Amino acid sequence: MKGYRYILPLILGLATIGLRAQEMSNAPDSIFFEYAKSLKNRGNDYYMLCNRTGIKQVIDKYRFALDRRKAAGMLTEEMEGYFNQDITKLLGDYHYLNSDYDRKSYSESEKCFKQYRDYYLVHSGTYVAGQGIYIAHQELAQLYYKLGRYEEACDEMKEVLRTVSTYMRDEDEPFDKLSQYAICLARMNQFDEAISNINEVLENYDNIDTERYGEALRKKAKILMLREEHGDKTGKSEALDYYKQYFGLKKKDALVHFMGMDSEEREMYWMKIRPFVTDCYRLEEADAGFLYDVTLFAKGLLLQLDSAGGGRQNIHATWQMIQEKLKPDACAIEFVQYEKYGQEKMGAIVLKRTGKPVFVKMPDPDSVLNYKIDVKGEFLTVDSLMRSVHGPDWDSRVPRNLLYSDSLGLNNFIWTSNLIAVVANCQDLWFAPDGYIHQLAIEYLLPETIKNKSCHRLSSTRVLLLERREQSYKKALVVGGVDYYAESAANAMGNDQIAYRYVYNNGKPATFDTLEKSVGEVKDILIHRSSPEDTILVGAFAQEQSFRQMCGNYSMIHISSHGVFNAATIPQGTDLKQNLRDNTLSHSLIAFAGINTSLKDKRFDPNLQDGILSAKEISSLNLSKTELVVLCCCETGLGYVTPDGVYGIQRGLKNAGARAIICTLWDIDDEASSYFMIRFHQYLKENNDLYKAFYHARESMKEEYDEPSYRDAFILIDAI
Amino acid sequence: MLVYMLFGVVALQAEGIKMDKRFESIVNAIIMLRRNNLDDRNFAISVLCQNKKWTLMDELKDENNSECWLTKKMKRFNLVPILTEVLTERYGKNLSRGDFLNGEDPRFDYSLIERGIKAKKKVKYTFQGRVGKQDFVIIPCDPTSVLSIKFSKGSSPLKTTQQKSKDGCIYLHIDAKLKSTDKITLEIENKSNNNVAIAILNHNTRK
Repeated sequence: MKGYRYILPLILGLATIGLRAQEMSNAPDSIFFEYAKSLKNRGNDYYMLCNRTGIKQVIDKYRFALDRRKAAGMLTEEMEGYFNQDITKLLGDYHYLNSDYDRKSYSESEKCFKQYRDYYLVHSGTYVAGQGIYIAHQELAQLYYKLGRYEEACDEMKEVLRTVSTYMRDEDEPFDKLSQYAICLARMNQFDEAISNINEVLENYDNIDTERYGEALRKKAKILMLREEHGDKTGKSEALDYYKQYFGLKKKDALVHFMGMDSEEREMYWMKIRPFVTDCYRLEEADAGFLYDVTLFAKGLLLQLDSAGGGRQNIHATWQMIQEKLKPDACAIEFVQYEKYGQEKMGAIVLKRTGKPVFVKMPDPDSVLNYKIDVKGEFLTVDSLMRSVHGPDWDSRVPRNLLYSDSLGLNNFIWTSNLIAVVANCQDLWFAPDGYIHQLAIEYLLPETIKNKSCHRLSSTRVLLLERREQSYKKALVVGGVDYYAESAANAMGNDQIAYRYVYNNGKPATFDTLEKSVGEVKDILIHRSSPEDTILVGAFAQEQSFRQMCGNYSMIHISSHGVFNAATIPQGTDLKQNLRDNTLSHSLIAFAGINTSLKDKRFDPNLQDGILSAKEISSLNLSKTELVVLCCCETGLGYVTPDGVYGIQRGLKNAGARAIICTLWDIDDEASSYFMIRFHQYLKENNDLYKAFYHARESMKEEYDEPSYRDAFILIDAI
Repeated sequence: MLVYMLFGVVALQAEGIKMDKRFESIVNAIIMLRRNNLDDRNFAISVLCQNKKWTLMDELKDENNSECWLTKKMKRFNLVPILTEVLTERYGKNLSRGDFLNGEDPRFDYSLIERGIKAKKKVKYTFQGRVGKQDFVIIPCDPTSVLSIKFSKGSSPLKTTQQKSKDGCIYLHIDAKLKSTDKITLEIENKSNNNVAIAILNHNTRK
């Protein structure tokens, strides 16, 4: 009786696909052409959203439909050749997006676009053929630009410009292409022609189209910065003027429009602005105050991409407003990672109670990540130590014990003398990380000269503007002792299918072991807290759905369970085409009751609780009343590190509106983490100061678990 | 009735050159695009949708760098996006169902395009595929523009009857019976001080 609940929808779904294909196989040409067109358009939409999975699904459907039609004798050779070009183009798009995950895909993408172009060259002379060739030139230009083959990109763009008047779909297309060509020329150091072209675009849009005018301003600034990198020293100050003009336009526009957009529109909006943010950091010390404002603005947008909450103040924040909130002995630091001269750079923009912000250059991220550490005679890099698999045995704890020990010089390497000089007279350092600092706890790597300072990690120094509520953790939802083998219950909502797929490794489902100490941990926490308003979800009751229904009503949430982060790279945009995240929030998850049962069934059922709470699902919750989320789960502080910050459980929680977060940077020991958590809650109950309770709990680890691998796993974010 | 009256207006202006009524309706629609408002644009689109015998004259290529971008700061028809929108809706992307060639395509009687010409510059377009007598209409978007137009076949000038209307449109009739392999060159000189957008329309009579 139970079985029909999921079998029937599956059968109906398959039947519908089969029916559609069956309809298409014998449908008149006009109907099939419409169907093919709709598939192609859907594929193009997925491409714009950088959704590889979606494109692959469209390709599979298209191929299936063509095969059925051919089998029914309804497909001529000519038509087949034509429709196959749609598939070739979509394949090229798929490989282009896939190239960030697999570099071999670059050549596959190039092959597809050339094949697409060559087909239309052979069938040339028609409008459609001309249009096909035009599209192929555009795609190849973008691909070559991304690969740094700028001369080839220029050649392709020249062909695009030659024919854009005939094949353009809207009146702005010629100038959009002209501005892209200008960037290509700048990459080839042909600056005069680049500037002449971009000036033509600016002239066209001045007083006509604010958005396009702003975009042209940004591109001109980029050309001037490239010229500066090539040796022209006047480039930076000129570029700064253009960037400021662009920023002024964008800020005004965001204040009016951003809050009214849905999450997809916000994401598109952010992707258009992102090149500006990453480009203008190259200005470095030219105007640190401007860069600080840009960082505040960028994070103000980013942390609201998926949430309906937030306010205009989030976008409107300036460094002067932050400065007013700082105490005389405090400073705010925004770390920024950016690309310059083809290399990744890191800077710290430091703001104190008086004076303007100061830009301090930091060691290049590569030099930090490649910093070598002697591990029993073998020299390993910081990066490899950060990625090493952490386990309960001594050998697997060594990498992190070494990484966070005081003896290596790494702390002096990261906290440079220049940075220390700037923050010397500050007691409280409020910093917002970027790049590798998201996953390296630099607050535990303070050199001797600044060891007495209090280091506070923030998602953004914007947080200092938030109203400081009297911390109240009266009502807690505590989840632990999860029974991963419980029966899957019905009434699921918003299950994340992609997250489900990611816990399969090569066709084998992951298995989550019972955490022996977890039950004791949550019970001890309740005893220490002794609050009648607390709720505990334990064993088979620790279900995802129950958690989702209840979590919005609690000022504190504590989860003691398994956490997983599935690592891979994510695609980066270019000036020719920006792109969006591709399901990155589905790669981080927390395990709830019944997950092993659900995975064993090997079948994703949207109606059954799957025991997986992904960062994407967390994003959809409303945790605006939640002052503190404590995650005693592995790797919950990890995620994809992108120019937009780190995409993982942290991001999901911030999108949901949670205030402070405690999470982990690597796999944690069950016993040691329980020890930490019980003491943390005990100290929090005693003095109600989150920061003090956290650091006191860390100190107490010295009694029984005196190793960095135990105590430095946890980080505290946004405890203001 | 209104449409007939509009046709009547066009016929009076093109005194001496009588044009096919369907060609007149297209010409009229393009003239209305000068006004650049939504109603006129929608009217033009509806005329173009009803008439299925036109195609894009996209075989024109100027080798003299005398063409200019059609910018938002100049008067222009914005014709090409309208034409491609109508054609794409009509034909989808099917090769065997009327995938249009260009003005040379024998399936079509009419062809049209919009181009921009720089101030004080001359463009030369060479094309083929025209059979029999030909009617051309050159419509500058700015009616005050001063244009000079010549046709030639090979290296010899081609005799044309020209008529300029009060609203700046130039109507041309080629009486010679052309063959599809004849190469004809259209030379348009923009004698104005500003860049000008022009619509070029052709009726390939095959008579």
